[in-house]
Amino acid sequence: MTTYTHSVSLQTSTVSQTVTQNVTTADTVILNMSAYFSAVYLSKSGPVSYSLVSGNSSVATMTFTGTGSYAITFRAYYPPGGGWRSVTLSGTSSGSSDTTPNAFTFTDKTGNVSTEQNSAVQITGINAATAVSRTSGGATFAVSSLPNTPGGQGFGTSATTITNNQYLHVKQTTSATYSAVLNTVMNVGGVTDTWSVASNAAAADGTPNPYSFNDVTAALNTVSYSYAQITGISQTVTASRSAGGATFAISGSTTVPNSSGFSSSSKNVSNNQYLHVKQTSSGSNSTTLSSVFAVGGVFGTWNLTTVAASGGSANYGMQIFPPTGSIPRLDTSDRTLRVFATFTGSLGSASSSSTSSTHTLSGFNPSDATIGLDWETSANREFVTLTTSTNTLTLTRANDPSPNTAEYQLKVFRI
Amino acid sequence: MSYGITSINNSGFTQIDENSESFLVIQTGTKPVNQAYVTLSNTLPDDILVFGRPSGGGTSGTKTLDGYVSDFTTNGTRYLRIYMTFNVAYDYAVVKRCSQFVTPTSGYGLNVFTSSGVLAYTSEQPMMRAIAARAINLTASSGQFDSAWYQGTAGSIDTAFVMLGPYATYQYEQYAQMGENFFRYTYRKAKFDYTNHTMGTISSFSNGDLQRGSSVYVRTGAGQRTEILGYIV
Repeated sequence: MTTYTHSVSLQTSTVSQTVTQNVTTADTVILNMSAYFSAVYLSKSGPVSYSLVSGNSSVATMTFTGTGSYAITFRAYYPPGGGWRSVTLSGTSSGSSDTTPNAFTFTDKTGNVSTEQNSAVQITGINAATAVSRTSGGATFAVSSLPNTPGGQGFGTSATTITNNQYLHVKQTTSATYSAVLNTVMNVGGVTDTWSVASNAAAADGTPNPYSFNDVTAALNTVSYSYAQITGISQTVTASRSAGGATFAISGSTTVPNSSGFSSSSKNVSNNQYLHVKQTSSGSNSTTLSSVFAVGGVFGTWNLTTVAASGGSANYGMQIFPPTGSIPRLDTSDRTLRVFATFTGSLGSASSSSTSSTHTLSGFNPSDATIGLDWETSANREFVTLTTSTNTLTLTRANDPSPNTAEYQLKVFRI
Repeated sequence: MSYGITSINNSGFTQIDENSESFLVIQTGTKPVNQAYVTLSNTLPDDILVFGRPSGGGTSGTKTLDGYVSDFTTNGTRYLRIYMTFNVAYDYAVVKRCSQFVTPTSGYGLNVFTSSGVLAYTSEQPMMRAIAARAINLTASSGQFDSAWYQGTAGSIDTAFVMLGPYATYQYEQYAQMGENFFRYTYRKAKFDYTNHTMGTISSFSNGDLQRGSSVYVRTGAGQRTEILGYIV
C-alpha cells in the first residue's frame, strides 16, 4: 500500500497539465493544487474515486476501486490569463496488492556468552500488510515503525503482520558456551533471512591439565609403550622431550601409532590428543629409564623399568626341556597362548539385509592387550565385521551378494 | 591355589596355570612354491590357529606373507585348507588347544591338568611362544599399517612365524574416476625385514576396470584382531 503525492500549480499560462501515476487498488494518490480560486472537479473515467478539499490550495485524494485505465480532471479559474487552467491525473490501476518485500538481511552479531543481541531491518517493496513469522530458531521478534529497538514487552514469537517501511526487530541471547552459533530464520511475506548470533571463543588456553603416563615394567631389551591424553587446552601447543631417551608420537587415539611417527623431535599437540611414548627397555635387570616430556609447560615423566634378576625376591617362571636339545620348551621369558574361548557357527545369506551372531564371554574386555582375537570365515572377508564390547563379541555379515551360508570360527585366547 | 601349578614369566605374564589350556603345535609343514594352498586333515578341530613364515625364515633381506585358513563344508565333506601366496614357499604351523591332545604317557616331562581334569599343558608337544603381539582395530579408514611395529634385536625374528588371520583381504572398493569406474582390493601383508630385525604390516593392492556407471561403495572386513609374532620350540 503506497501513497503517491503530486503538487501542481494552476497559476500558470499553461492551459492543460497532465500527471501520470500507475497504481494498485491499495494505493492512494494525493494531488495538491495551488490556484487563485478553488479547484473544482471537472470529469473522470475509469475505476477512480475522489474527495476534494477546496481552497487556494486545493487537495484532491484519489482511491481506486478496480483495475484498468483511469483519468480524472480538476480545473480552476486563472484571472491573469483570462481563462480556466486544468490538470489531469491518469494511469493504470493494476488491481493487485504486493505483499512480497524486497530481500532483506539482518546484521549477524557476535558477543560474549549469555549476552543479549539485537538487529533490525526495514521492510520495503510491499503495498499491503504481509505476514511475519519465525521459521526456525530461538530469537524473538517485534514490528515497529521506528528503527530503535522496542521495549522488551514488544518481543514475542507469535506470527504478526508488517506494512511497508516498518522495521522488523529480532532479539536473541548468545549461547552460554563458547564459539556457539544460534541461527534464526525469519519469514516476511515468503522472503526469508537467517540471523546468526555467535558467542565469542574462549580465551586461548595453552596450559594443559596435569597428565601422567602409566609406568611400565618389562623384560630386558623389550620395546615398550605408554601414552597420556592431553586435555585442558584450547590451542595447539608444543610437546617436547626434556630428558631421557624415549621417543614420542602424537595421535588422536590410544592405538599405538606407526613406528615412523616416533621421534625425539618436538611436535604440535591439540586438545584431547594422545602423547605416545616408546623405548626399548634396559639390557640389565631392575633398571629404570626415565624420560621427561613438556607439553605447554606442563611436565610428565615416564618410567620404564626392567624386571628383577632371576633368583631374586620375585619367584617366576620355570624351564622345561624337551627330550632332546638344549633349548627349553618353556623358558622364563616366554609368553604362551592359552585358550580363553572358541566359538564356531554360521552366518546366513546377507545380500539384502545383514545377519549377525553374538557370543557372550564373561571376562572379555576389548581393551585388554593380553587377550588376543582371531577369526576366519568362509565368506569373503570384506563382507564380515567383528564388533566387540565388554563380555560380548558379534560377527556381522552384510552386503554380501553370495547366497550361501558362511561358516565362521572365532578364537579368543590369552597371550 | 590348592592344586595344579602356575608358571609366571619374568614380565608377569602367566605361562601355565590350572585354569586354562595352552595352545600347542600339532603339525608343521611347507606350502611349496606355485601352489595355492595345502590341505589339512579334516579331522582337526575347527578352532585351530595357523602360523606361517617365509620358508626357512631368514637372516637378511625382506619378505612378505599373506594367507588365511579356509574351513568349509560342501556336500557333507569338510575342507580345511591353508591359503598363502601362490608363487612363494611358506612354512606353516598348526596349533590346537591342549585338551584336544591325547595325554602323553611317555614317562618324562610335565603334564598339567585343569581342575576339571582337562589337559592344560604338556611338555611333550612343541609350543608356540609369542615374541610380540599387537591388538588392532580395522576400520574403513584405517588398515592399521605399520611397516615395523616390532623392532627386535639380531636374530630375534629369523625363525619367527606370524598368525595368519590378520594378513588377508582387508577392503574392497568400487569407485569412479574421471567418468570411468574401477575396483580395488586392499590386502594386509606381514613384512619380515630380516636385515633390520623388524616385523610389520604393509598394504598391497589389486585393481581393475568396471562397467561405466557401476555402483560406488566400500566394503571393509572391520573389527578387532590380534597380530602375533612367535616361534616354535
